[in-house]
Amino acid sequence: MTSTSTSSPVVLAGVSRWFGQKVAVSEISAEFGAGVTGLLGPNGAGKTTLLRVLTGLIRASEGTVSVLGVDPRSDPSVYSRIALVPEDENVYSFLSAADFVAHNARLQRVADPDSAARRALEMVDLTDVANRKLAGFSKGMRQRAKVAAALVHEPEIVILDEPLNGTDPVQRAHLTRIFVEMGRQGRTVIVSSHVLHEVERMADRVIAMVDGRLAASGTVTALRAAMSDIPLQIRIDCDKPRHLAAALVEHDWVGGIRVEESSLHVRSLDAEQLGRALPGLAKNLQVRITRVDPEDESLESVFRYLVEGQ
Amino acid sequence: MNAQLAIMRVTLRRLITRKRVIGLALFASVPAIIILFASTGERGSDRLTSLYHDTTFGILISVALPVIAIVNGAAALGDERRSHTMPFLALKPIPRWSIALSTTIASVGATLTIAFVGVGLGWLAAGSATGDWGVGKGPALAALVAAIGYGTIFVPIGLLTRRATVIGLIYLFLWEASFANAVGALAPTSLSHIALQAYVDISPGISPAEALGTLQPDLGKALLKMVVVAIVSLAFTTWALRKQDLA
Repeated sequence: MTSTSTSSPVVLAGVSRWFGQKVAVSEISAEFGAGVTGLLGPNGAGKTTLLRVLTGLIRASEGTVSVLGVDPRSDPSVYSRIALVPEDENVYSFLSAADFVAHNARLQRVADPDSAARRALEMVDLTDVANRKLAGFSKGMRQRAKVAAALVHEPEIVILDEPLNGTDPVQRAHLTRIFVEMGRQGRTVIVSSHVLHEVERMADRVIAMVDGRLAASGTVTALRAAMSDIPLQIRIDCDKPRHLAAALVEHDWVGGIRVEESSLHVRSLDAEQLGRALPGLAKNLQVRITRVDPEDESLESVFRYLVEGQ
Repeated sequence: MNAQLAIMRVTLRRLITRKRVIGLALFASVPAIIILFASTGERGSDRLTSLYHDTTFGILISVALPVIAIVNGAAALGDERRSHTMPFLALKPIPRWSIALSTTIASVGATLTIAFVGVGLGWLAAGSATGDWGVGKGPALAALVAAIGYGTIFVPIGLLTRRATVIGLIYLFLWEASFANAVGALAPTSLSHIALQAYVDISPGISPAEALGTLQPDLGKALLKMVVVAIVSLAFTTWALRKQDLA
């Protein structure tokens, strides 16, 4: 993605995937190098489809995929160096966590599967429940078991599809540390998420997707900066909306105002400026503000802006 | 344990669930139950033997075993895909033919395990009622031959479509039970008729032999045909694992 080096372990060139009339992924070209890369996008953006194409689980309708120099669909031997943690929470629920991870180790032809499974389960903090059936696991525990199963053969490339789904804050922090550490070790880690701050904590670089297309790519800081330029619709509840509107309209970072009985809806071209100015204006005008809320600051609207703005 | 054995073990555990085994084994045991009831009356051993072969072939080999095989074959890889556990199997450095072989062996194994409950109980019932403990050889070999064919052909179908069970039942009741029975020339296209080739070769003179159509009793040929069916099915499964979407 950000790098132009052709030695990137994961390279996608013009990858598209459609299901009948529906285009799930459209002409994505990207490279993933060492470190953690976040694949960011709202639900339905095509992240899971892209990761499935990337791992060879499904075919690309167009374009090419290269993982460590080969197409995984034509050379399964490459799977000894990569791992996927799928988004679906289903696992072999009739197995214990230890059996499940050891089974994955055996399929990866790890020399001592049981020892490797113990180490992997310890890494995700599941040692105490290793002998319990996965059927009785919570969603977060299953998620950690899947991570252990994926990491049991110490892969060079780790692909994680919404790995923090269903985990509690403590587990979240723990898993995030593991992913960050893998990135520091020089492994290629690709983490998909629809939550920006989640990705921000672990990824050095981000690829943003909307409607199957590449919306933006770069460092998290660059993406943040791009997002701060987005006009936002902000609702302000107060006792004197007309007074406040009159004062706000003079500023060039205000794109438009709609006044209602006890609120006003401001289209701000710079939300940060608005946030700084509001307390002073309220004090000077003796306006009592009871609520300030962005009306469209969902990740989806931000991404749509980025796509349309390109 | 190597990767192939690990796949077989997990596939077998997934296929042989308590509910499934109890339901299907009961179905497979219907001939044994009929023989048990029949043996309480005053029938001669010849009539009991004849009834045993009629019910064993007509119910167990021709209907129960194919249904067991359809259920297991359709689930062997189909369940992996539909329950979204396929990445734990397919994204591994294992040749696709090896995955196909391991899951197919598990499908045949699960089918035989459940069918043999019926075969064993029928043999016990008939043997104890007639005193002829050799009556079970034909059903056992026919079950083995049938399981190889039926247990393999539904694995790729289960991988490719959600409707594998329906397709299997249509094939079974429309093609095998209707057309292949009605038209003798179609008998070679029916797996149950091929199984009957083996059955009659081991247990000659039984009444189901009339359904052989153009086929001749021959265990070797029946086994060979089923092995060919299995190889073609394996090739088809391997192709599907390589070329089709697995999620």
